[in-house]
Amino acid sequence: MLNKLEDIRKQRRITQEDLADALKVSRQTIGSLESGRYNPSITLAFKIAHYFKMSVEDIFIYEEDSDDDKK
Amino acid sequence: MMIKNKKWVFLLIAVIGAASFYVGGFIVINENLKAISGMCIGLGSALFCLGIGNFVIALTVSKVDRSNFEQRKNIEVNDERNIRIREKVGAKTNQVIFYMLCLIVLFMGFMQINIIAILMVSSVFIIELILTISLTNYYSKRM
Repeated sequence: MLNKLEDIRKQRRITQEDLADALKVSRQTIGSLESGRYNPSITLAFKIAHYFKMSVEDIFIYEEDSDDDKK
Repeated sequence: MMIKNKKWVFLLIAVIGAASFYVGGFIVINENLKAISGMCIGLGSALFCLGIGNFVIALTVSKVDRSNFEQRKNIEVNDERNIRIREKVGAKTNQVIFYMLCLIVLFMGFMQINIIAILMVSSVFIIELILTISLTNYYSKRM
């Protein structure tokens, strides 16, 4: 699954620390999400979408043939 | 107020630990009570270190720092990525330990160690099987 989290965060001039504090997750989680190493739970995806006042689909892009679950 | 109370609880734990150590080391010195003496020394040392360590932390760390630290700790503990990492690590560790246990039982057989000891170690496989079945059943009903 791809995401535009880093672009959106930078556009809004928010640091990873601030975003992590707002979402009550660790900064490493934000880093992993942005680099695509980690896919969020549906709850966290919605929290992120709510935080940026966007829809989940605007931030996360599902790829049909990705192998994410096997990571 | 709560932190102040805790501070004295930690000090009390340290005092109990020191007293237990003293009793184990200098009062209960009878050869027949060696096990109790050793237990008192061990328990006393552990309680003393725990109490003193927490007492010093309670004295030196301010209430604000403590609250920030608690908040950060809660975030780290409840962070979903950390939870997933812990689960994966637990599962992989369990796999490795299982194979190591198989090897140990095999070597114990080759070394002709007492059958009771081999059976005791082997019983872990049965416990693992029972746990796997019951936990799978438990979580299947809740997820």
